[in-house]
Amino acid sequence: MINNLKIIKNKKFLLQLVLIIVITSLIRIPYLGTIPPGNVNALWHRLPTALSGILSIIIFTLIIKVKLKNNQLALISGLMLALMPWHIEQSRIFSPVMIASMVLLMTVLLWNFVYFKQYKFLIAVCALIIIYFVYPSFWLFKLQYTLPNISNYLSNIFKLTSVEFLFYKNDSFWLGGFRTIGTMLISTLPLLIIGIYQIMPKLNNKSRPFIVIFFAILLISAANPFFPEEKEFFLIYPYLALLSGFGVIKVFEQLKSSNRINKIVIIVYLIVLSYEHVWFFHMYSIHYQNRIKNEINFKNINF
Amino acid sequence: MSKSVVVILVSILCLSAFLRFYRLASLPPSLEWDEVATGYDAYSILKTGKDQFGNFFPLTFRSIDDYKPPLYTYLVTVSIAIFGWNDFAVRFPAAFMGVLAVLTTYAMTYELFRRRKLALLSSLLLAISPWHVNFSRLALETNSTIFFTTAGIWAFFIGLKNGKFLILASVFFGLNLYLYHNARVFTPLIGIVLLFFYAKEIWKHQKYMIVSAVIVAIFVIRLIPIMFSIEGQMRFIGTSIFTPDIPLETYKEKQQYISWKKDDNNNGEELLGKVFHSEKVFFALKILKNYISHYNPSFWLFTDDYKRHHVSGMGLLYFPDMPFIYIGLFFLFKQNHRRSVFLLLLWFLFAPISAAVTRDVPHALRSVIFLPTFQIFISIALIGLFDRLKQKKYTKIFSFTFIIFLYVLNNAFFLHQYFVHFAKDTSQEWQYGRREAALFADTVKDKFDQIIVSTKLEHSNLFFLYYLKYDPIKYLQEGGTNSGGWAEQRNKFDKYLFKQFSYEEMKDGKTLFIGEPNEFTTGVVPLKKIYYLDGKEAIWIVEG
Repeated sequence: MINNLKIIKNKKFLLQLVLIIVITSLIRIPYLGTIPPGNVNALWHRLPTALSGILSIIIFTLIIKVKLKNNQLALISGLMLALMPWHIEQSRIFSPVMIASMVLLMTVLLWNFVYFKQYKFLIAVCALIIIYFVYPSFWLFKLQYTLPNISNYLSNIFKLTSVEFLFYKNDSFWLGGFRTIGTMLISTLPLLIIGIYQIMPKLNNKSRPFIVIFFAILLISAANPFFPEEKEFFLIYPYLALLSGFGVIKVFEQLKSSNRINKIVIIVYLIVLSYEHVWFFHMYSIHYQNRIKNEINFKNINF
Repeated sequence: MSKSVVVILVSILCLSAFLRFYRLASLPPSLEWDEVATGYDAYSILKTGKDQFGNFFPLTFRSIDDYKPPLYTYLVTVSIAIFGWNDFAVRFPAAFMGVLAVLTTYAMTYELFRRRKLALLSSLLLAISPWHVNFSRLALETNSTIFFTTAGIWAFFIGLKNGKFLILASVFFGLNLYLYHNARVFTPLIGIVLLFFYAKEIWKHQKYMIVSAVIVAIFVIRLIPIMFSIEGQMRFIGTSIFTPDIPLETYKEKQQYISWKKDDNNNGEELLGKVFHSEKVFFALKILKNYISHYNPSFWLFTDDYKRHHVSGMGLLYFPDMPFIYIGLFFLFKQNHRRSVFLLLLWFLFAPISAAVTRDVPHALRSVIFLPTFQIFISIALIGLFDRLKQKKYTKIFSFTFIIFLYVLNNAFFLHQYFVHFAKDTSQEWQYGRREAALFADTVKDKFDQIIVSTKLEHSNLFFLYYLKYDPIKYLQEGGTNSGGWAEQRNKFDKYLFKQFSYEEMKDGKTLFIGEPNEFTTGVVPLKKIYYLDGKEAIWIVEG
């Protein structure tokens, strides 16, 4: 039944994974009840999500390691996910979609260790049932809804894939959300582009299910009757993290091998990348919570 | 070049000429303020050698206080000399340059990749491009920069084999600097890339290289004082994000930064405030955001840009273009001509740089120099895809038919929207009605002592000068244009005064008032009402 359990035997990998877990936890756990500001029960309300966030990064890292058989890529992609603004935001609030994403990733991981189709099917059914209970607000679970017309639907698709949404203004979670920035930092855009370029030649028939899942998430998200207040698109974060991981590896390869001018360009880029990440943590820890305190009666909202 | 290639290329040129010249004078439905200003300046140059302000053969036209580079106005002067003073003549150079750009795109693409099919397809796609067709039909200088850039690069590549053409390339690039503000940023960047990539080949033609360098130097040296003069910087001041007169959205974003900085200062973290929320950081991020906004598929396909920049229901590109652009970018890296690939990519990246520091972004007009990169990417994608289907005959035929069908459908939709609905949908944006008002006022002017035209009809003096074909010699003798601008109250000629008015206070029974409907009190019965093409009231002409 189980055909591969070598993950934990690689000590170096395990050590680096532990380091990522520490970083992930340090970003997600401290001041959980107060950043963002919440009511008296905020800490216990958010803790399951924060733990799901941490777990999702571990599972994601393991999936990449198992599927692509590349430790370096798995760890770097995991780290990129740990530092992703959208993932951090959703990890530190009560977020059913975060728990659902963790369940989905766990399903994908388990499938890799299971040989027989009937067990795979059983795992999928269990996952669906769990998701139904942990993420009841998913719009497809509600029987009554109005779908957007074709024009709005296309517009929604373009919005979700736009630079504005991805890098500047993530308004999928408005009241209480950290909407003044996008799902990722703009300095990671080159990493994404490099990642896309890296991954394109590697696509084959085995990649097809993952491409189909990506488009399914996109199409389901764009059809949400409450658009742009939708959370389903959050499920694409593993794709973003993986592409960024490919990008980071390529950038560091270039740093080692290219000429002096290219090295200077890359170093300047890495400085900008680091600067923006520090900027993000400053914004998140100081100004985001100030804004929440000022603009809504936040104590009445469970988030 | 084989006969079949010549036949196809000529057919493409004929198609592009049809799309650019058919109903050129009447569609867009009227000349807008830049166009009438250019038209009048051009005619004034032809008759007097001076522009509307009395400047003798200027190298910067003050125009509507946007200080236009001169080349397009001089091209219009030639056009008016040939075709007479009319709307067709004013728009002719743009349309003509548009057709030539299709030809030079063919030539340039062939030199870049040495593939006839690719070059032909790129030129065909440019010929039918909604972005290019629309802007080729306007008497604006920006579109012509595509011709000068593609011609310059083509001449440069020929020059690598036959040095004489380097001189021609330097002339094209040099003239481009005098065509449009954005070209003053884009052309040097592309020029540096060409020099850097092809330094060895250029060095082989030292004699022509020196002559070319001298020509470029002459163009540049003459340009430097213009660039640093207040006239040269007026356009930048008028459109940049750095001026105090910034749009509300930018103002709000700036205020947000200021408030963050204050919060940090109050928390005793002044250093963090400086590092993360200073004005410099704000503008750097704003410019980056503006720059990236030009790569937004929504802008390409739907566009929130000005209504007059695209037809209703679609944007600057065709819907099927979108996947092929991505596929084309992917295939681009598989091309053998590495330097050409990087040249094209850098072109694609340089195109919106100058627009990034301006307001109202993304801006289709200021980033039109993207063209024809999109068309080349799409062509690379299509040819790459068909090359991969060589063995699958029926799949190839089906795909070919399907793609043709998609493009024909999209092109038909664009042409329908453009030639049937565009005028009605956008007449207000084209300042429609000024021509009609001027011509009507001229028929009744003998009954009145003076005619007051409201300055709320922006740059109304230029519309009246242009459409009444007021003699530039006489106009300059009367003082010419006072200062232009939006709030100028002193402009006048013949019986016409251009200023804001209060109808109730100024009516004396001997004056004709021309203004917006909301400038007149209720109960007034206009002598004539002029309507936009969508039926809304545009202008009232009232006796008083």
